[in-house]
Amino acid sequence: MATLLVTPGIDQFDGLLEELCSNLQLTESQFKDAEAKYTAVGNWLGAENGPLAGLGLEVYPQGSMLLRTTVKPRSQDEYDLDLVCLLPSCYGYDPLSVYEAVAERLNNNATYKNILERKKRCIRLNYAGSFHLDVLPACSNPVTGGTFILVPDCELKDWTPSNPKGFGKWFEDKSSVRVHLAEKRFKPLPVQGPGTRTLPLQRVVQLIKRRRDVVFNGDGDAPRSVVLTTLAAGHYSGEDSCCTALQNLLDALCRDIANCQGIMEVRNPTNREEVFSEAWTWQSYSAFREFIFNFREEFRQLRAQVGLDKITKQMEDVFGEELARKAVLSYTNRLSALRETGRLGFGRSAVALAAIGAGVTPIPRTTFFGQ
Amino acid sequence: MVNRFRQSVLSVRDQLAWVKQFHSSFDGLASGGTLRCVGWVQPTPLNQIYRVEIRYIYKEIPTAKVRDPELRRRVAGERIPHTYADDEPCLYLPGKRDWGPEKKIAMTIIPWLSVWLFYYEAWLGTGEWQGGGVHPIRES
Repeated sequence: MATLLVTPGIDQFDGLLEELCSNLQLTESQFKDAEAKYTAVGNWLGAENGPLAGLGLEVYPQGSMLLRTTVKPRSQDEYDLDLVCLLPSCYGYDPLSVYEAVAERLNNNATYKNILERKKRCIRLNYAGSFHLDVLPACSNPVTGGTFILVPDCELKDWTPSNPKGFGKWFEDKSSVRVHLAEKRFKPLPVQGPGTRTLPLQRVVQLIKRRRDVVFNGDGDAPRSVVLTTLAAGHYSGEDSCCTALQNLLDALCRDIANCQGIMEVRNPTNREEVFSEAWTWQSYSAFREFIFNFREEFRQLRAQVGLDKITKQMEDVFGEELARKAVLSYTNRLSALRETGRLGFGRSAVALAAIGAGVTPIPRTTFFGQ
Repeated sequence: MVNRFRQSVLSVRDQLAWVKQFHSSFDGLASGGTLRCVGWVQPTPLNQIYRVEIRYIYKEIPTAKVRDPELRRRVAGERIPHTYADDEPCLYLPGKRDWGPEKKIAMTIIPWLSVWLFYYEAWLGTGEWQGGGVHPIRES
């Protein structure tokens, strides 16, 4: 059947999920705005006449901004974006004094002073209506070297290990899509939505995080993003369809949970010492298990729906009303774009709509009439 | 009879032959200047599959009806966008611009119905009609 609203060979649902995810993602202009803001933060922190000058200071994004798996929060307008402020050789200093030095420097800036909030491991700059920039002071880990860093923890009053760049590299390696020779001849339709095209794994992470946000709605038992991201990437095996990848992930997680006696452990793949899931209690782990079992069923039901109206309804229940509606409207716009440019046609099987190509007959223009 | 059109008007038998040639799921009857054909339409695999019926009297206006499943509304009693009475989709502007008896129903009415059904389902889901179109001016 010649239906080219999405790339042939890829599940039709992927077109819809692509629109859903691009509505969750930072737009290209928001991304550029965030980049400009963190560059400015870096420039201020490392300014030549400042107290942190000459320390080889480096500021770089970590977490969802680095991985391009941001998810628009439901309860507020601001995205949470994380930055590392690396002072490479300050390991010999007291962790709290390093944290204070960065916080103090930010506090001496008229702009940052008013939007600054001290948190356990980071200094938050709150750009109301856009995003939070969480600045994590850090030093290089002199023992392990490479991309490993140490971050001051104000409660533990000690350094805690981390490796965001390493994790980013691991995630990037995991994201690569297996390309089948047979599929190479197909060219995807240009994506209408904002932002650059993301990879299936990135969308899988966005979708599971979004479902978490809908289910837990701010509850403290919600599984951490880094746990979900690690599990998703760990199970991803190069599926070119995000829909198939998500269903495979949920199936695999259900198996893992069933086979696991006790609480599952999710470790940092780039630093086995670090247990991302260490905060899990029986209560929060049970909530995670229930979340995964239910999501698997909900997603299966969503895929089984036929009819854009029924799909919209089910998507509203799973991912939130406004987001689902926007996704369906963007998806519909893909067809409108073909129609407006005279590229819409029909195939032989059940008058299937398709972009003009082999075996597709162009549809003459018409104007719908009536009340 | 002198044909005054540049393109000749198609007989109902010709219309049916074109319908069957372009749309394998359609079948019908053409006799006595009347065409009636039925077939299946599924705009995309995400859409439902619909049983539809096209009726046409020679040189008059073709009409399309959705037989199964029946068209639905978001709220009881509301009007489905771009329909005539009896929930009949309004697929083209009255007049000669969009449709005329020299045009093939197979290439116009039937694919337009597929496009209409696509927007109808999206409307049913979201409440927004994205297919464009014009409304007749109501007499005050």
